[in-house]
Amino acid sequence: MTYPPNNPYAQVPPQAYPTPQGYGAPAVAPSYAGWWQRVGAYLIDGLCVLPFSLLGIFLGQGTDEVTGATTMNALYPIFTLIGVAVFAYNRWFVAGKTGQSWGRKAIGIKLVAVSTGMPIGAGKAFVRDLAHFFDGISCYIGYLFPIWDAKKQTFADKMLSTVVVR
Amino acid sequence: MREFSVPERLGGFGALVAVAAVAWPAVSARTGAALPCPLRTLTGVPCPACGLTTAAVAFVRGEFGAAFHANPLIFGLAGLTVASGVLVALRAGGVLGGPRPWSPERRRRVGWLAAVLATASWLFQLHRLTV
Repeated sequence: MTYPPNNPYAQVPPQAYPTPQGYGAPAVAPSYAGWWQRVGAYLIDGLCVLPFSLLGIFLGQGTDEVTGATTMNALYPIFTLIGVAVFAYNRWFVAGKTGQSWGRKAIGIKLVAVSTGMPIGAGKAFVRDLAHFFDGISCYIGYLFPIWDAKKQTFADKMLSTVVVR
Repeated sequence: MREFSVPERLGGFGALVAVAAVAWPAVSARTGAALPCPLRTLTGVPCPACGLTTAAVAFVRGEFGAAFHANPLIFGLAGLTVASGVLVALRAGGVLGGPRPWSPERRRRVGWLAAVLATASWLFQLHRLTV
């Protein structure tokens, strides 16, 4: 008798994320989000903040008539703060709670923990965005990693044990 | 839509780089935007990818000498982009079958090749920007 015994009724350990068997194989859950989808979601998240940045620039900045230097009025920090608040609400609170920032929701992808398959919470979502520093400092290679990585993770995803799924 | 293979995805990225390289000079001139090397900005040491923006812009303008001088890796990306474009077209037309996952041995070999290319590029950039 071989060991371990080949028992067809043995309990199979739960596998939250079965690995896809090949490029042509039917989709099995979870299907990791592609690089283009992730870029699209990030751009949409950026577009959500863009109006406040533009308002801050156009309404909050001026030019000194004497020196010609750029000046700022009270509207600049106000719109900047609103932009930061919107970004934080969207990328950390909403995305941490539901797994989907507005951009990810529009594209139809979700950020979840590898171990549980559940959203990661606002705190971890915040730390994950901080960890994107390492995606940038590595000559942006970290941002490109999902192109060839088996789980399509960035460095920040690997550090926080997260994946983006469809 | 089927899942694309890694070379096909890299080719797609190459196509994006080509489009961005066409638009980049106008965007940069109008907005003052730049894409600095984070490693070089922080430490003064260039990275293997340094010069790729310059190389890509020069390449799409047909200035191949300038592109090579900035970063020869752009020729590899261009070749991969063209080859994967042909591959995708042939597969879409049914001439070729769909991609199959590589064996672990082949993945390992390609990983080593990428590491060698990155090292060679780094030496090139160190020579170009610090010597």
